[in-house]
Amino acid sequence: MPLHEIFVALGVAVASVVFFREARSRGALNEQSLVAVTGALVGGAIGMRLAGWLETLDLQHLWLYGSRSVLGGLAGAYIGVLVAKRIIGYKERTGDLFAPAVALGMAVGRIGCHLTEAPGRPTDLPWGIHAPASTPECPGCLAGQAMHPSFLYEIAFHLAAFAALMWARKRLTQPGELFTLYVAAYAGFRFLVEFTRANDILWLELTGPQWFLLPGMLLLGLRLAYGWRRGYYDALFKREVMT
Amino acid sequence: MAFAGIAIYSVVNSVLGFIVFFAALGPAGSEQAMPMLIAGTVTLVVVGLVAGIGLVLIRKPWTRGLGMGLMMGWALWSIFTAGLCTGLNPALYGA
Repeated sequence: MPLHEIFVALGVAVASVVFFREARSRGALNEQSLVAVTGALVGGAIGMRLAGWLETLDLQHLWLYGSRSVLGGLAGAYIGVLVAKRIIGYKERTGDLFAPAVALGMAVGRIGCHLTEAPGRPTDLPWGIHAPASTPECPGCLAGQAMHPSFLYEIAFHLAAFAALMWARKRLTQPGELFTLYVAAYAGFRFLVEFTRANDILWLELTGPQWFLLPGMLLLGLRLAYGWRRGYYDALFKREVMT
Repeated sequence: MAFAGIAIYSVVNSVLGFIVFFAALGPAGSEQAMPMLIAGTVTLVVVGLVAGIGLVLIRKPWTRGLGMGLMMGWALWSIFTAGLCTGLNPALYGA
């Protein structure tokens, strides 16, 4: 049974429901939102494939071997929404509609990764898990080593992020900041969780995704500082702005 | 119309998928499957993205919805057939 594909599809379905509910509650259930969704899906699909291709630079991997990279997908989706909105001349922020949907969708989709792939780096920690020897491309599984359940870490993060976003959505009044906070939190978390994932180390003990995230985290840090100085997050921390 | 676009694309995708699958089962096997796979992939890109963008650019309400549906169909099928989430570093396991 293609468990991976099934959970990815379930994740997209869950994200669609959350997006629909969020758009309806914000009065944004309109054609512009549909255009943004189209941009996100097309950009995400292309981004996933481009990122997979960049790992090998083999043209066959560009279209023939499926979508591979969540980070590439998220970056592609972001660019896709920007392009789609520019085409129709829509200037409103739409990221807040996507943030809770992406968080819950990712939590569901990652179950498929956990069930079918190499779970992580070997570990002696008591919660290390063993995966079936039939897991593809997993020497640790064949050797019976305990490994980090890195996808479970990520599922826990996304569930917590979803709860936090639902708590914050009515408190944040500046459009787009919910999305900014989610992306910044995921970038930071993903950078850290990569130390437990089984991805190739490229240079200086850092994996490809970590090198991809470094400049992104710098930009997001600057963006968060900008929002913090302007009081965008005051309602979350009950911070008093000096006048 | 967006849902109609997704449905139309899904039918085309499924039909092409079966054609490629049966081609791979034929006497020529994988040798014949690869060109068929490439042709099928290009056809799906044309149906989903090129035709979708074209319909959106016509700017009639029904063509815009149908075009977006075709593009969403291509993207969803592309995402559903995801490959691996992670690369692998065999050196970590001493392999």
